[in-house]
Amino acid sequence: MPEVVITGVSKAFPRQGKDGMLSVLNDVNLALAEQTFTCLVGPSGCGKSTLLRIIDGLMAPDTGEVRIGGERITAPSLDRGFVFQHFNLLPWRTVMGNIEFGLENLGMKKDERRPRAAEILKLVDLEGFESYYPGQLSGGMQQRVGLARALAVDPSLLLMDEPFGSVDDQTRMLLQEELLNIWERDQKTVVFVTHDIEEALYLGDRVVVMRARPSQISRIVEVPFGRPRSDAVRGSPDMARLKQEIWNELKVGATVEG
Amino acid sequence: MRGSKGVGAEVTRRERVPGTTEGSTVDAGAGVVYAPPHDHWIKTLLDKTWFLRLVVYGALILAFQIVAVRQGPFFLPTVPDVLKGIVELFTAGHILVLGPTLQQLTVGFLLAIAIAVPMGALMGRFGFAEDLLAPWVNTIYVTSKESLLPIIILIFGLGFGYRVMVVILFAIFFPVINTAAGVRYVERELRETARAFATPRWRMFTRVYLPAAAPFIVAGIRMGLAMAIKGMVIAEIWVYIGTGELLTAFTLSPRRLHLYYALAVMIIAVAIILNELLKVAEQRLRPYARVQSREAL
Repeated sequence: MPEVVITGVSKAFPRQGKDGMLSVLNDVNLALAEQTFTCLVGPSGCGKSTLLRIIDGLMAPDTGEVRIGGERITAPSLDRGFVFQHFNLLPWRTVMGNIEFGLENLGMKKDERRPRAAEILKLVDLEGFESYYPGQLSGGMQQRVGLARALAVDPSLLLMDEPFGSVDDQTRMLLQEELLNIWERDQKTVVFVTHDIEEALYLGDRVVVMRARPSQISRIVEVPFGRPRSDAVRGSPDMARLKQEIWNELKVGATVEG
Repeated sequence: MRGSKGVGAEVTRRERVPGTTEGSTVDAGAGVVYAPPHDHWIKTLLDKTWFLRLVVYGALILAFQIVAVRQGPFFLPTVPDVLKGIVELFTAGHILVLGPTLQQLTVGFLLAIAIAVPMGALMGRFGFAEDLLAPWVNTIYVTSKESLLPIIILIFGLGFGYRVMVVILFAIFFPVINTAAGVRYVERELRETARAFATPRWRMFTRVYLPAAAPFIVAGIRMGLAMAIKGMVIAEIWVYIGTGELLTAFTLSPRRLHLYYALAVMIIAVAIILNELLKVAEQRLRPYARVQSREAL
């Protein structure tokens, strides 16, 4: 079971068409308790997606390290599930085939995979769509498949990169609610990247506020709403107050360029 | 997509999905059945593929016939003569010559694909494979392949091996180049996804690169088929055997010229049939392609 510890992580990328490096993360330190839901919020370009990829092992940090349950992360593993902003489904595979993708890499046989995938399919409310191709589904449904694919391998850590950033508002709210319902069941450790402050407060136990380049954690907000959490918190005075506070925090470092 | 108000045309895919609980974006007017005014009959005909084909092929055959009549039988047989020639090919047994020819074509073509796809995939994926192989591929690709035939004859003689090698030489380049291009341009997002799900290195090829590049690969294979047929005929004409021998012999006598055209028509027919078979095979292997081409459901 993971306790994620991020120590002194820095990352820089070559500047496009210019000399020198663009520092994206600068000495980030953060510890995430197990079975908590942590949201990383910040302006685009602040390095929150980069940090998420470093946690997964998709990217190596220039300095520093990430340890999960004491073990240093060097490569992606099926003990972590990743949900992408643009779904990234395999277009030539059906819904079922996509959900089975990670299970295949676990070395599961077909007769084990099918029931497992069917179970997850039910969890994300996609029964009846097994044999559809991603191109036949709406964005919201595609992301349900993306979530199902990540959940299918039963990871102990779920990493989500602005997963609801490319669906419409109403779908986003529905998906947020469903994500919370799913999370209540087994309370995986979740790291959820978003630029939507309300989304972060509605979903998370903690909201980590990041400021733009070279980005650092500027504040950590403990979310006061209880669990199981109802939709009503969206309209609560605490929500309004915290949203304003976080926005004031973000505004300082925000630039037009961001 | 959302919010546009085109009549009928903007029925988005998601609306065709039954039981969707979310994101339904029913446009005003999308439910209204738009009844078009009756089209003029000429426009109706022009929308029909069979009609256009009839016009195109009909015009070609007609033009052939006119030229044949004007030039006289010494240069061009008339269309009825060619048809008679086709019957004659069967009754005289000449058609059997296509058997071994097709056999060498099939063997050469399959070998070409078996070499080309893995080779192209390696070139598309690994810089070192590209650096090692690309100079060879590019050099021979732009060279007149006919000029290499004497070398192949020296190595393989005049038998089956020679003919298969020529077919491979002609057929291999498009599938190699297309597979390499297809694999090279597999979206970064797909590669990242496969990595995030801990896909083993070599399995990336079968599970991600090749399926993602499949449209390129199939296009390359279809072009390769055309080249394979070209190679087959050239290989035989060059050393005067099989179908090539017959084709050459038929042109030498004006009285047998109609047989030459008849045999050429048969070769074209074989090519068309093989091409159609490839299309069927593609649809079998890639049901997703069928979905794509029909858009939704």
